[in-house]
Amino acid sequence: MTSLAAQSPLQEASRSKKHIDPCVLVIFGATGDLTGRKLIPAIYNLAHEGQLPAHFACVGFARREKTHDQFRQEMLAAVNEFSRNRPVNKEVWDTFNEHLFYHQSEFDDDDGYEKLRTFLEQIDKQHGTKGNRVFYLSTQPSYFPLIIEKLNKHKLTYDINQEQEKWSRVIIEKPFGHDLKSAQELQKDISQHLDESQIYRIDHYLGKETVQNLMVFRFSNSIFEALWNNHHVDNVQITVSEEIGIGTRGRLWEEAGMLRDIVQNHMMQLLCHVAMEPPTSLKADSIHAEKIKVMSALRPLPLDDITKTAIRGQYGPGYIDGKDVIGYRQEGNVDPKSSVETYVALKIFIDNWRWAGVPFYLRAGKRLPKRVTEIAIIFKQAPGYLFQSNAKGHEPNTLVIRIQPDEGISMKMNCKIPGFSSVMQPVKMDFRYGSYFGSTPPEAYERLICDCMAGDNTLFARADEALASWRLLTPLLDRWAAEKPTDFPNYASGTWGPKAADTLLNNDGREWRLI
Amino acid sequence: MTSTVDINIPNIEQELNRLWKGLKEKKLSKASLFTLIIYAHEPRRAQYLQDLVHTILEKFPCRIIFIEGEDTDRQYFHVSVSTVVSGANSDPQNAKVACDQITIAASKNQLFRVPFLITPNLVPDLPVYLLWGQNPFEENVIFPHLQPIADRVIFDSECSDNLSLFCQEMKDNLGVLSIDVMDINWAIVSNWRDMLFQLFDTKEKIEELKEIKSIVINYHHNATETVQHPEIRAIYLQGWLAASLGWRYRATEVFENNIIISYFGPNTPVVIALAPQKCDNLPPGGIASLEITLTNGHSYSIARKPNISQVIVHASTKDECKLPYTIPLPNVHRGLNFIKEIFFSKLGTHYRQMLDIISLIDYKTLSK
Repeated sequence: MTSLAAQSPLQEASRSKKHIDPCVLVIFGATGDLTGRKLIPAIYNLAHEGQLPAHFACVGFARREKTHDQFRQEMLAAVNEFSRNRPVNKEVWDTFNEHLFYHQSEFDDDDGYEKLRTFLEQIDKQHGTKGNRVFYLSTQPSYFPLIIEKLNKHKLTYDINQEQEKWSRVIIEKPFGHDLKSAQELQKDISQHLDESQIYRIDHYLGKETVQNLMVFRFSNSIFEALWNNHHVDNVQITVSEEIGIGTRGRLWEEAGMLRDIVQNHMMQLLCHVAMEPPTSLKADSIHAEKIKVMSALRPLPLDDITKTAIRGQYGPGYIDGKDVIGYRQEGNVDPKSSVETYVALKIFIDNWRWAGVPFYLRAGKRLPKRVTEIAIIFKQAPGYLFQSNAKGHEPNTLVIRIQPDEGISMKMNCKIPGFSSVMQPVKMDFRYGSYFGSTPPEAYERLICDCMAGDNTLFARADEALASWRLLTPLLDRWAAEKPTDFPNYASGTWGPKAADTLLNNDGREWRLI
Repeated sequence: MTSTVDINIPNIEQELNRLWKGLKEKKLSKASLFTLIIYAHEPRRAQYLQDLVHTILEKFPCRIIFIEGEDTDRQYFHVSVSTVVSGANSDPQNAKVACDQITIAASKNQLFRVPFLITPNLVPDLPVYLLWGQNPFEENVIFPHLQPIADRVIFDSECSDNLSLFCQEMKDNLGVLSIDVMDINWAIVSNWRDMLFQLFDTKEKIEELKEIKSIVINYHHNATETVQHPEIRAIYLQGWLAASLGWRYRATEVFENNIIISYFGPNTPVVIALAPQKCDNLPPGGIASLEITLTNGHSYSIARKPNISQVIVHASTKDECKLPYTIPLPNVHRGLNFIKEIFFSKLGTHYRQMLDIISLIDYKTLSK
């Protein structure tokens, strides 16, 4: 569907603001945690920043009985607690409130969808939302095919070939399947009812400011891009570390584990952004094409000696911030003999011209000493003969892209300590988003919801990307499922993971970066 | 801000370092994203420009060089330095950033010294922005020296007594200037421009634009020492509409304090009334509301909601009044929106076309 923006004489080409058509956003699973913690605060923030279209409404869809007013009250409390714009601006909320609704139905109830259609048509008339729809599936993944089928059956989504005057889009939360086979089946199910251009697989890491900046950083700074290859890079380390445990997610975690929850989606997307070639343009298709090339070049994990490339771990009791914490097996809704991993370390190779021979080390863990997500590019050592007597101070240059918290970029280099001797010391140049540009950049969900409403899927994962990631990791999942670990729990809470993860790098003559 | 220290000219860097050392215990970082050079030709605009600098500093740390010129026969040239904290409204847990400010006060016959003082005090490698509180085409002492080193000049059309003449000069010189240009008042009406674009967002509504018969623009008329031409933003907004919609200028008159500007529209004559009002919740010149009437009797009444970044729209036809609805109207007087508009937005064809229209207005008529 062509946007009307181009036809308006009031639109100026040089103004880059995205045009967003009038629309209704329907959130399935509206009583869930994500809706209150992230989605509604994000939509409120968009309203606060003036980013929502003039004609907009939001409908929560869930199974619990609730009135519009009850839902609004709950969402107001959630925004007050979780929004980056606090306290809530009464005037903004009062206006937003009038556009917020609740619809109760079971996910499999045809009558509920029929009533939803009637309700949305009524909203179209009252709020001028023109029949445009975004459906956000914030439910358990097992409901995705069912909801999409029902949406299609009740003409809530539209045939892409007939989307002339109005459009429909569906946002799907992770995980997209739980292995390659299930992801392929899910893709088959939903593609019966939706075109790929209507599907938005959300990965909130891609909405983070630093991840978006990665492309700008790489492709608008010639010095870094010139060094971004196997001639200069020794290894790349991607870390997603959390000090929290699994909390109340015991049941879900027992079915997922770290490889599925973090590595398959977030970390593989980060890997693609670090490793991809410059796209021919900033259009979504060009960027997706480059990411899929990286995915296609991933070397399958050698399963004959898996401990040389993949390490799993599970946290035991320990200390976080000086306080006792329980181990994974003591958490609620967790099997006391569970073999589910809460830590993963991988060594991955990308078999292409640029990255041949450069290991990408990925580690993700729960109950590690601190919360940090970062990408570290560790460069090769300069020839050391000049400074051999200072070997300890002579460290490789390291470029660190911090994704959270304290978004920013730092560069480590060697420097002479002032004085008569030639002692060296590594020093850091540090750029922090918070210091330069204020402390409250938009939340990832704000950017992503806004992009979906504007029809821009650049920051969403395409089906082939998700499938390629599963293709790499499913054999490992199968292997781990077949071979139960005998040493779990193998790391104490508050430490940097199992010893074997250190050995993984030590065997290559390297170490994990000290964070 | 530290206390301002009057200094001997060669000691600028030394004094800034001394001030910086005095702030060590306050756990500040020093940072600059660019050098911002402000020229306040008239004392009446100095305070306005100083306020703009604070707005910028709340979001972006930068080195400030503030020049206060004066048209007097006195002969003086003073330089003072201070350190200001950026991000005043940011999260208190976040590290604060400090910036240098150099203030130069010079009488007219000493202004020639200013460029030589500025050049060694720019932040190396980073952009240089000029915030110019005078018609730069009339200023020939400092601006010609700084233009080659600057990345962008931001004009303040309020500093011109004759807006039509200013627009004519801008039109003539835009192509000549080798740097990016922005006009503060154009930037400040960007929210109304975006809002109107959003309002007329369907085929039917885009068609309605051709049938506009009259528009009333109500603006906060509170001429102060600082703002002597509060009508400028309203004139810009109507000029942009006229240019975008292809209206041809006909005449301007003043009737009962309203400025009446008439055009030939594509299908019908169009009359625009700029109506001064008292709206104390708006800055001087701020636009309060629009009333648009079409030839078929349909109308749109668009009013800014008090204390909130929204307008409320009442649309009605001859037969019915539709339910009112709201459209965002981001605050472009402060914050990141303001910064984005003045430092990063580009002047495009709409601005040039607006200059064409406004340069036709007999501005002297308005001051009678």
